[in-house]
Amino acid sequence: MEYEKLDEKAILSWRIRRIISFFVILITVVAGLLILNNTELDNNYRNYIYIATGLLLLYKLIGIILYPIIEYKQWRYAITEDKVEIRHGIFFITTTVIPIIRVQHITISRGPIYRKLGLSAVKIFLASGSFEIEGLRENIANTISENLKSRVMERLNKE
Amino acid sequence: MKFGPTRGNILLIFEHFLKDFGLVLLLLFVTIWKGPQIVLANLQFVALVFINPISVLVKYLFTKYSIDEEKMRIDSGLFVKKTMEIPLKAITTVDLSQNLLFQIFKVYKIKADNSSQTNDTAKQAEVIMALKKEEAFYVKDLLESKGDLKEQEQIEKQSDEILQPIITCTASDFVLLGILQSKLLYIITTFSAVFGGGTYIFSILFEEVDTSAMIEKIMNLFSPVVGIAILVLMVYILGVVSSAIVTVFRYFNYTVKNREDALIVEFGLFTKKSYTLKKEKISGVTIKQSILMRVFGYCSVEVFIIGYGDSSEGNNKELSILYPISKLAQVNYILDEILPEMSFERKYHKSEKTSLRYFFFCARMFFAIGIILGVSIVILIGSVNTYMFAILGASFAFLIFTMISVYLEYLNAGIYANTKVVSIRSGILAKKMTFVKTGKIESISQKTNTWKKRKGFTTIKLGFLAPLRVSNIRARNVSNKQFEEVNGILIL
Repeated sequence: MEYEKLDEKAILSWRIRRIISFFVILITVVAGLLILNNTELDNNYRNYIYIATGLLLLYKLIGIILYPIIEYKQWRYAITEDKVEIRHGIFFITTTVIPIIRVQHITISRGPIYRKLGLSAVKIFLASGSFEIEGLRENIANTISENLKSRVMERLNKE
Repeated sequence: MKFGPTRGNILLIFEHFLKDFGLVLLLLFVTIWKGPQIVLANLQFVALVFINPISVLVKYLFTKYSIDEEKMRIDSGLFVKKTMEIPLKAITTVDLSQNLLFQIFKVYKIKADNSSQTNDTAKQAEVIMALKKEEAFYVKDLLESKGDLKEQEQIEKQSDEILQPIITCTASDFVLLGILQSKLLYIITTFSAVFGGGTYIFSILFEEVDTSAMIEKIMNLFSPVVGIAILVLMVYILGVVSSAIVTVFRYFNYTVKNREDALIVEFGLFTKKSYTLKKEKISGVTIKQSILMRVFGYCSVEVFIIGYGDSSEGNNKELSILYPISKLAQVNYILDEILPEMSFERKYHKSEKTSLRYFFFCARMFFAIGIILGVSIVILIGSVNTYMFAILGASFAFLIFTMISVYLEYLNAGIYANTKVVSIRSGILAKKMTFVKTGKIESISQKTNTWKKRKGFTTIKLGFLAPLRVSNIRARNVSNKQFEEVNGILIL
């Protein structure tokens, strides 16, 4: 089975998302540290809290640079006659197999970052949940969506 | 139009009487006891008491139900009008129930569930109405008929003549279930009710008595060790008794009838319930054994179908019980009888010996190690005292228990698959065997990391139609071959 890869712009989109979440954490941490400075706490504990906070921020910074690249390398999907297979993850790789006959409906979504980069995400809905193929070029997302839709219609007509 | 449009019976607004009208009753009680002055002085809070009753009344007045040959239609909303149509073919369970008030006025509550309730629209797609007896049975038949009422009537007529309960459970069975099943939830609830709410109400009713001084006086009668032992024993006994009483009342006169197309489950003392579980809509079953059940060879069976076992009354979650308690051999026999389309073999592929190490990579192990590290750091900083060493000792004991639990989890893990059923076995002290119809599986996922993948191990998760709380069933650290096997069967 031949796996397809996502568009390379997906790396940038994930990076932007991580930067936004980094700043949210940074603001929270700064606020927390300001409150901490006004409390009477043993200096030893205060130092440990500073170290832990510093490590968390460093981890998040490394995540911005490194994780999108790893994630992109791991992301694969394949659509065959009878199934959709999605593989993704950073440290833990999740592989999901969905028989096409179980697909209920499909949606294409484009958030502000995706719109700016010309990307789309295809969300596949089953009765028991949903799965997403993200970071696709718009025309590829449309093709996948049309392809799956026609299979769903085929199934409904048979029923 | 075969039924409606109608709002149903007004008694529906009293469905959750205590929840919606409890505060009004309390207000009435306080007014009678303490006089109207206290109420008049706190009018701003008194207004809050009427929010719930008014909202249920508005919801009742602005909701109308109708049923035709193909679908059920619900029109609702005061300011934002909403219309929901549910095809009769999508309905999975229809249940009738009566609480005490409904029994007095011969009114039934009908609850119809459909497949879409597994996702986030769950509550919105739930249909609940109250009707007089004749209307209620007519609507139940209509909803179950998929539009063909005649065929449905024929099935029921034929069946009613020969239909005898295939599973019956007496009060003693439920007392046994109450004693053998896990008590943790009941113990916590009872403990918080007795020591939280109890002392609070006591302090309100008897203002002149100092409750904390009284508790201190009682505790002083015993040494700390004996006091704690008595407290733990008391709470455990209270937990066992409350669990047994709740279970007996809820599942009183429990029977399951095996109809050609459905299983009919009936039970209840104060609130009588009748569920019709369409066999074709059943996704699977799970056989559960608590540690005590395993010792005495008992088990209980739950069934997976949308609409059964996902409602709750107060703090008590209702379970999707099919066979409350019985010997394992009897359960096997009955399951083969009522769900013959499923195969209940037990040829599990167990987790291989080399996969044991991966079981130790779990949250509770990291938590236990984290506690030890944390306590060690505090000791290293300078807080060296016997108290900290006692905590460190307790943390090591916790680590040993965690390691034992991980090993037990490894022993219980297993999976097997064939064209009829996929089964996953899991658990630590309590054991759970889940059987899902292969045809009902909608997706299969495997989660693994690079090292585990290299050694050929993976964790498998099945996606199937079931209430949310049971749909997350996983076979941990089994061979990758098992994933390929299930994958192959699924696409067939």
